[in-house]
Formats: sequence, structure tokens, C-alpha cells
Amino acid sequence: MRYARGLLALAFGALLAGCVTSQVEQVRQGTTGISDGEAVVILARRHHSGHEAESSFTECISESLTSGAAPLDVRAEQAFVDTLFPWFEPRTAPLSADTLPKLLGEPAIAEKLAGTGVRYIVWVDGMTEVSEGAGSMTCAVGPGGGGCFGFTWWDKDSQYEASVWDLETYEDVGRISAAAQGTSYMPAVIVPIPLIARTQATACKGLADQLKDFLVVQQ
Amino acid sequence: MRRHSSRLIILATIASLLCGCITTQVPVEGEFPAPVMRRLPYAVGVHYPEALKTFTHEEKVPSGRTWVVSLGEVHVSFFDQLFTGMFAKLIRIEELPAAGSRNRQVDGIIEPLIEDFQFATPGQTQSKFYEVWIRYRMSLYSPAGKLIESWPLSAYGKSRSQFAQARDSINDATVVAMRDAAALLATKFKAESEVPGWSATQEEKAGPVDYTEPGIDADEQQTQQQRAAGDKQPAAL
Repeated sequence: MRYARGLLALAFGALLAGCVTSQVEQVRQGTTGISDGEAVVILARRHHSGHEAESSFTECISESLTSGAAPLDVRAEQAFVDTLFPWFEPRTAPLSADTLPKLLGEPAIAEKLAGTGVRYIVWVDGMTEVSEGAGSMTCAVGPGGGGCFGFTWWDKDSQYEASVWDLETYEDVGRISAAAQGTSYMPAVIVPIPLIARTQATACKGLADQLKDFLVVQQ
Repeated sequence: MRRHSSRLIILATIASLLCGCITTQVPVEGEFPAPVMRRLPYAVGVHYPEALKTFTHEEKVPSGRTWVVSLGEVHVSFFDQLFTGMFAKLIRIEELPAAGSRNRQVDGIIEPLIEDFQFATPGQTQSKFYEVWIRYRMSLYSPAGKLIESWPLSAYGKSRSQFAQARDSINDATVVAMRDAAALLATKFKAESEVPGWSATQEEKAGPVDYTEPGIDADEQQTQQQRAAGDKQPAAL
């Protein structure tokens, strides 16, 4: 009986979610490995005028890294940026790992950074875009009640890239990209039933799992 | 009677919604960390003009909503925090030195001013962000009140639009723009080991300046305020 209910809930959940396809790629450029007492910080690139990675996405990655098997020590993004104010603001944040020696050549900045215990900075760039959908839906309300009738759908595309900088060697040690595409549907016969494609969550899980392997496994 | 009043309130609300004449007040609030940098060895006087302390931007956007963004108060605390981290000593002065006089407590004077404030809503730019631009004018004076340098400083900030939280988004975008201004100022002063026109005055000071205790000189500030409130004499000595 309990299994039947579980299967029913699973089937209902699958029905409510739109289909998503995802792809994760990794490029390693240097050796990694993380010891006790060393931390990671996930920072969103914010210097583009038109877009920036959603804070919900960076928070999702941070939560994924701190949970599960072999959790990592992850520093909060805003606390890190405030500690090193104003050198990680959109205008002043280093754009390449080559500029780290110059930035950390300032003793006051190097001292503050050492105090955070951060070994790796993970820069996340990208966004989730919702394309214009199609279909139509009509809703009406009358004295006897209301309801909707129709069918609409729309596409969602999540594209993110994480660049990992090692603060010990001042190197860009690798990149991981995650892409997820999906179509969301909303059929309505009196009551609209949204079948949402969770592309951002899928991209987050794919990127976070790969990132954890990338940082923990010594190569 | 109570029923009548509630009806009036509902009618007034509906009427204001229909004519689109909603006014949203945004008294900008934010906390700013002290900048991480080597303090420049100057005792600096900061002068906040009345135009800065009371700066308010009012704008009616095409949707009919009127925004009133108050920036003065938050800027005083923002610049206090910023300059305290940038210079060895900060002294707030109420007025610039009058002609022929000199403030012997400081090596130089800095005066920030907001020249322009603009914002754009997602509806105006067809984006997902509220955007803010602030144009400042920063002026450096000698202890005698002579203008040494004056330059415009343009800062930009954006904040993601959130459902039914337009006020918070404008506030957040403004705070990001102010942090951008701090980044610009810190970068300018980090690159300079000395400020032209300030170093030359150090030998002319009446007494030594304590560089070991950074921060706003509370006694001096009180003295200046008393002078300003009293006989309206210039704050400079």
C-alpha cells in the first residue's frame, strides 16, 4: 500500500514537471585538491549590463556543495565581497587569474583574503532565459464560478559556466559548463495545470556535482 | 460611521489606482563596509554641502507612478565610512575655510556632491533589472579652501526585478551604485601615493596630527558644530 502511494506520488511529480535535457562539460587546466580548513566561495559575475547569474543559482550551488557526501566549506558570497570591499565589486573584480598577483600584492588585501580561509574562487557566469511561448488560454469568471480553457507552452534555456581559480597558485585551474533546455506546458480545462521544466535546478545540480568532484579529487 | 470610513478608504484607493497617481517614497538605506586599503597619511576634512545632505530625486515614470528617492542621509554615513577607511584621520567640517583663513587641523579637504541621479525600471528598458546612475562631483581643497581638483564620478548599479518589490529593487540598485562609487574612489586614491596640493601643507600645520587613531575626530566635530550653531563664524581656524 505504501509503495503504491509512493509510485503514485512519483508519477504525479513526473507529470507536473516538463521534460529537460542537460549537458555538463569540464575542462581541466591545473591540479586541484582541498584540505581541511580550506574553503570555497561561489561568486556571480555581475559586470555585464544585460545579464548576471541569478543569486538563487549561486545559492543553489553553495547548498549543493555543503551537503551530501564529503561536504565542502563554502563561504557566503556577500560576506566575502564585503570583507574584501571594494575589490570584488562589479567594476573592480579581477577578470582573469593573471591579475591576482597584482591585487594580492597589496598586503591589506592579502591579509583579509587569508583571513577568509578561501582556497578556491568559483566565478559563475550565465543565465536562464525564457523564450516567448505559443498557444492560448482564456479565463473567465461569472456569477456561477470561473475557469480557464486552452493550452500554452514556452521554452527555457539555462546556460552557465563556472571558472575555478586557485588562490594558492594564482591559476585558472579549470572550467565547468552546464546547459539545460526544456519546454514547459500549461494545459487548462477549468483549472490550469502548470508542467514546469526546471532547467535552472537541473543545471545547478549538474554543475555542482561536477564541481565537487573537480575540487575534491586530487589530479 | 466606521463602515462609512472604510468605504471612503476603499474608494480613495481605487481612485488612486485608476488615475495611476501612486507616490512611492524610497528613503535609501544600506550598510557599507570600510574599504580594505592602505590609509593615505592625511588628516582630511570632509565637507558635506546642504545640497548633498538633503538630496532627493523625484520622478514620475510613464506608468504614472511617482518615485521620491531620498539619498542625502545615507550618503553622509556612506562617505564617513569610506573616507575613514581611506585616510589616516577624518574630521567633519561644517563650512569651507573663508578667504584668508586656513584650517590648521587638516592636510586637505574633500567635498562630495551629487550632481545627478537617474533610474530606469524594467518596463522602460525591457530588461529584468532596475538600473541606477549617480553622477557625483568630487572636489579637493587645500586647508585654505583653495580648489585643487574637481572631477565628475559616474557610478552605476543594477538590481534584479522582484515581484511586488519595486521599492526594494530601487533601494538595492542605488546601494550597488554607491558601492561602485566607492570602488572608483578607492581605485583612484590607491594609485596615488600622495594627493597633489595636500602634502605641501603638512609642514605648515600648527601641531602634529595623530595618525595612529583613524576615524572621525569627535571633539573637533563637536567644536565645529558649536561654532556653526553659535556665531556663524567659518569653521576653519
